[in-house]
Amino acid sequence: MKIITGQAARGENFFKRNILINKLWRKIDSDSSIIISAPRRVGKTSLMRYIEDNPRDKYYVVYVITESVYNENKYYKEIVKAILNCDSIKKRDKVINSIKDLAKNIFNSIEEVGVDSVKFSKNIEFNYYEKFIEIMRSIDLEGHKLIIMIDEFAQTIENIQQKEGTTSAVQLLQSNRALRQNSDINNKFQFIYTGSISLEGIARRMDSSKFINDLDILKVTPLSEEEGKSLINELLKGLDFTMDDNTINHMLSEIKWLIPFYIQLAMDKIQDIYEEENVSVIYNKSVDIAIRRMIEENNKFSSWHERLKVYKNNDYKFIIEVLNIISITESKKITYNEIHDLAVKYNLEETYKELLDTLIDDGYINNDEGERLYTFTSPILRMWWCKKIAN
Amino acid sequence: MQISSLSLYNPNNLTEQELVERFVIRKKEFQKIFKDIKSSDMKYPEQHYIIEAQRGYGKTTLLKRLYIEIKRDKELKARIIPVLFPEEQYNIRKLFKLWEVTAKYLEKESNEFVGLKDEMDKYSQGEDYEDICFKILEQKLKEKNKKLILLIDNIGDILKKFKIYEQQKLREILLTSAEIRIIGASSEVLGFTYDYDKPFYDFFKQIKLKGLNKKETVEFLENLGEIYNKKDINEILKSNKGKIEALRRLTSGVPRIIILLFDIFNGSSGTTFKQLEILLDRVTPLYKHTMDSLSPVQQEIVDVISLSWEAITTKEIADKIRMQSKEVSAQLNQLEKNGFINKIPVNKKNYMYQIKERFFNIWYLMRFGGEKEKYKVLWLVNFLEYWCSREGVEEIALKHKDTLITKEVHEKYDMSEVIVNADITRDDFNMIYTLAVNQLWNDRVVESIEKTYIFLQLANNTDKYNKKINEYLILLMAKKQYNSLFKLFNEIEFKLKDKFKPTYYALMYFMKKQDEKFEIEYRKVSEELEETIKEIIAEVNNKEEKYK
Repeated sequence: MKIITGQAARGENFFKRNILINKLWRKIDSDSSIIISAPRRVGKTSLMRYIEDNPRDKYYVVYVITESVYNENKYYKEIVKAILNCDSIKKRDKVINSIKDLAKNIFNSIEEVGVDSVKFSKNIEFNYYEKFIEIMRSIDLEGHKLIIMIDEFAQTIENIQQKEGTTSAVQLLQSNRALRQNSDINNKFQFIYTGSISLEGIARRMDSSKFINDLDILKVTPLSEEEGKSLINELLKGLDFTMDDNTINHMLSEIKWLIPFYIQLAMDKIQDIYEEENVSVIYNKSVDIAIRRMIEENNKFSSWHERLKVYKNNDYKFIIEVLNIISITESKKITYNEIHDLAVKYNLEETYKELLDTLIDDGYINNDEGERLYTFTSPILRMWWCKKIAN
Repeated sequence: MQISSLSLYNPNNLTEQELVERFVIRKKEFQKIFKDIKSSDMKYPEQHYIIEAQRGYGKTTLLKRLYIEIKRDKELKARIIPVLFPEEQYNIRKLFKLWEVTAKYLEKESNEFVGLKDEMDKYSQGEDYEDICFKILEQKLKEKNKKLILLIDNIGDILKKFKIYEQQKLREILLTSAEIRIIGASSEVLGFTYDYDKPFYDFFKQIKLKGLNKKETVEFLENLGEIYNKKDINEILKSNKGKIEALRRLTSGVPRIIILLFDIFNGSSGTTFKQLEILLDRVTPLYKHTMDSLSPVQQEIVDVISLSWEAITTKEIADKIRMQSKEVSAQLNQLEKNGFINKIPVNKKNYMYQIKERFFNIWYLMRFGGEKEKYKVLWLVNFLEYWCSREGVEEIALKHKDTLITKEVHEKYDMSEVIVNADITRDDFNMIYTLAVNQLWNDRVVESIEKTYIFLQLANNTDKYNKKINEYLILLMAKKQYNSLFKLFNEIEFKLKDKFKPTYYALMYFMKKQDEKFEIEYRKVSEELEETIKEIIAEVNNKEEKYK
């Protein structure tokens, strides 16, 4: 297993999170369409690619990324193209023949239907939403179900909103819902949506939550301590240095919010230290240096601050003050009562709970229900916040 | 030999064999990336890289070295085609152009791909031309069972020109296609790689190239000596140890400038300051060109920042050039974006600015500064030279273990005896200085500091005692007399801040917990001083521990 810090991890580089994978399959098995929800860099795309690379029996899986899509027709065109070129379908002779026939019938002027690609004619533009329905109606999937995974779906909604306005963006949410509820075809496919920006958030802002409320939500949680250990041990197999259990535990307790990306990043920094100093056994001291370097590399964490800028005026001031207080007070905590008092200061008594929930959902802070105390999810993030934002 | 080594070391003028032989720096970075390429089967999309460093740090050479090694490696050659983009790519403004240019270079690299560009051209009128270009490229690679590694110099210049839509599209491709891998290089920090809203947020793995350290510099110079058959190189390196190290620190260890140093040490002898002058002459065309590329207002701002040498606030700049802070601020943002200056936070709202390329700043001070500025540079050069030539603390301790090392000794003997032992000429300065040191050792702080004013007065018109004065200043810190020392630094007539700049910042390090203003002052530390300041701090701690 290699250290991966930017690309989605696939194949042997993907750290198999069995609990999460099983959870996703259970949701798929229950026939619902799904939103995979988590902040950037938690591993959503890697999870989807794993499902695509390792489909269970009776499922075909198609992965589409629509980050650069700016209109509804193009969105469905990408999906249709992906289905017609889907690797797992292509392995089945019968299905591929069905697709070839289909393509010829549905797209009268198709130029070429090859094993590797379907090229559409240059000049004719179809209504791909309709074409999608037609394909789904007539395709023979031999009892399989098609899982269509759409990465960066919320980005597409935002792109359309920017370019064509809110009505068109809402229209895409609506048409997706209409497909999910079309009983003629919805036994043949399921959608899984994900992306780096929150679909729930953007739908809420457009007052359109109702168009996604049929979706089941899978939250990608951080790794458990056991999983964290096991990831580090997997990575160590491909590295020239070793770390004993104590050091691994120390690293995990320093990172605390165990998303694979943080662990990979810390291991990457440790590898730098190993190369600089030529030490074959890594101890706590090097772990501390590695984590300090992670924090000093401003760019890795500044996004946590940047993306709060969508909040305006008192909302923003309130959030920043809450986070500042947690990061600088000695106990590294804030109580619910203190938060309430801040809400009064900013005239947010009515809405502050929602803001607080967003901070929890987005992975900034977590709370201990019993004690009603709030802390940063990740000590690293807290240290960074304290150093760069609060001071 | 005079002018040639820089141009002869230019990666574009070297044969493959020469480049491989001369590749002595950046080996670790090379190994890291190459090992990754070698162990990647490219079954799935792989990690993409950006090598980040200022100009002259060896990015182009590293890319070229990777290119050569991929081609030389039998196993890799069979499955991967590397394509090396030239340094300047003015014509790539759109994503489709990137694929067209790739096709062009790919045709040159391998006969198997001849006709690729023509194939793309057939679709040039279509709406999805950009998609089709990539599909054709991808399909051809699959057909030939080959993977592509694009080595793109100045990748930032290309990506910046792409519209957001094109950046998104490219990310989609890099995230989903296993046929292509990018290893780019950039001389600036690319904002869009760490902006959460932007497609390439955290997408590339960054490899940062730093300035050469002491050991790497010596290795590099030795290698240059071998290439040019300079048999006495080791002798030159040995006898100029302090000078070379001083100049390395001033130039931040930029490899391109170290090559110039090699020429200079071979061509002339003289004081470090003299050699610095020669070096500055050599870099003049380069830096002049940099200056000429700025707008008149930006030149004015860079003039103020450079002459200040230390980080300076927007308001200070605005006052000096009589412009509105807002306007200055806009220009500063532009300069920062272009990688010309660094921004250092003063508090939540305000920033200080300094020139990013530190040797450029020294060049500017020496070319456009007045006497005062030139003296500041001279003092720093002298400081660094004696600091870097000094024996290690341990060596000194061993050498003088019978005389200088312990507090007990100081208590027992009159310091004048030590002076005789250490072979120092007696004069008023030495007499008073020795007394002051002696008193400080014995914790008679008030009396010692009183003497300080006298010996500083005596040394005010000469630099010959600077080394000793600096030792005293360090001792004051070891005795935790921070505020007294700060007071001394503020006595304008002694110009201590200019003469002992690194020591001043070491003091700020010790005082930064006392007051925010010292903390802000400490943030002004620039790259060329960092290493020296760290060593001074270590020496203070060491002395404090030993002579408690």
